[in-house]
Amino acid sequence: MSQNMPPITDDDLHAFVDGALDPERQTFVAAYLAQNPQQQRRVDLWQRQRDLLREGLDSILIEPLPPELTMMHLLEQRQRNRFAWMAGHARIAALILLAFGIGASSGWFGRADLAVPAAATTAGTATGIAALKLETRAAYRIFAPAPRTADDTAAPATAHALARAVGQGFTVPDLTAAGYTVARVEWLATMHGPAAVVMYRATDTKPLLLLVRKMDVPATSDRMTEEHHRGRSMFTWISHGVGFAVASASAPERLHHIANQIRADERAL
Amino acid sequence: MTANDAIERTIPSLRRYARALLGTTQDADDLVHDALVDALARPRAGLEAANIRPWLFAILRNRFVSNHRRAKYRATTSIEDNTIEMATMRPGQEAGLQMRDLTLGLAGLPVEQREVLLLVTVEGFSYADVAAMLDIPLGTVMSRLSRARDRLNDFMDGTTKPRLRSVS
Repeated sequence: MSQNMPPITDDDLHAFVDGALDPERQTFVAAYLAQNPQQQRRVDLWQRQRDLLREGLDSILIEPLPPELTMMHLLEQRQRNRFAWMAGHARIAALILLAFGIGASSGWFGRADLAVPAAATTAGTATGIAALKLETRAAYRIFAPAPRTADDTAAPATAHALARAVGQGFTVPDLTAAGYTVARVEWLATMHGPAAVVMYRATDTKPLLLLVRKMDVPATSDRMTEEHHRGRSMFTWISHGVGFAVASASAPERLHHIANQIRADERAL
Repeated sequence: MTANDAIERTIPSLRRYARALLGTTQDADDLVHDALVDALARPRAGLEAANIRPWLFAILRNRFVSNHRRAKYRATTSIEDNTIEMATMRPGQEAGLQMRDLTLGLAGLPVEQREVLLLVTVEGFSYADVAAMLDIPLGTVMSRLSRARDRLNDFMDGTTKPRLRSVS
């Protein structure tokens, strides 16, 4: 039988250990190993690795699952998130109508992308960073299509108002080094207090939105979080009680870099 | 058995795999949670129960890669810096030093080799399944497996001392 067998390769030795050979080949490899102590030793150790790994790791299989990893919890969470999204949108829509008047938001309700699937959400209740994300998404939908140039005469007054809303020491971040210029600065009334929205424009990529406001709840983490949905990315973080969100349809890496820069500049103040 | 039942039955082995891959229980369970959320957001009506397991592992793997890329991009922590928690492994009485060396060796493997080794030896997937899951050619599966196994052999028979990167 061995006459017609192709020569033994390393792949055969692995397949031997993993039981992936047909019986004839398995016998052939076993006979080869019996003649080659060095390879036999190698294969023995591989088998020992497998046995030890399984022995060491199998206890995880019988550990009780943490509640958040049970199917019941996961399915419930999914339902909740769906509901929270609908509720969140309705609330923000109402707020924006109040803030800008119905005329400013005409065309918005008709947009197909208003219905965002539940999978994109990360939080079941809209407070803290989850609320900040919802507001940023809503603001992006409104302002990204129309990043008109800021009125130079109004800019100083806007900046002053921003400082009052968000806190002393806040200035509109300068992103000219990254290729972005300020196109528009807006106020937004949210459930959690006044927010500042800055639209930036670049010649070579999509507009960028920065939303800043004081947080309604204390920060639980100073880590930056991110989410990506339908080609848009958002990075959020909390610093000294102020929440920051940047959103854009430009490349996530570029946006991330800018988010890091804004955070670094803000910390340096 | 419904697709959801099949998913539920796979959760323990997803946890086992994630923990051996990442080293810490919390990171592993976070990864499994994210993967399950991803999975539940996808249509699964056409999936046969038998295919649920490789499907879920592939989703977990995609999630792992995107998290890993971000971690690298941020350059704060990288997966390679995580050492396997010694507590992850619960050796029997006789396993002793070899188990310790294996644990350290596993933590010292490049993540590409570690995932192939775990999927084949612990999770029992076929080489073809692993190639499809990781979206790499079969030959790459075999070479990663070979390098992982030989490297662990060196740890186990004492030719190589574990070289762990320091955790900053």
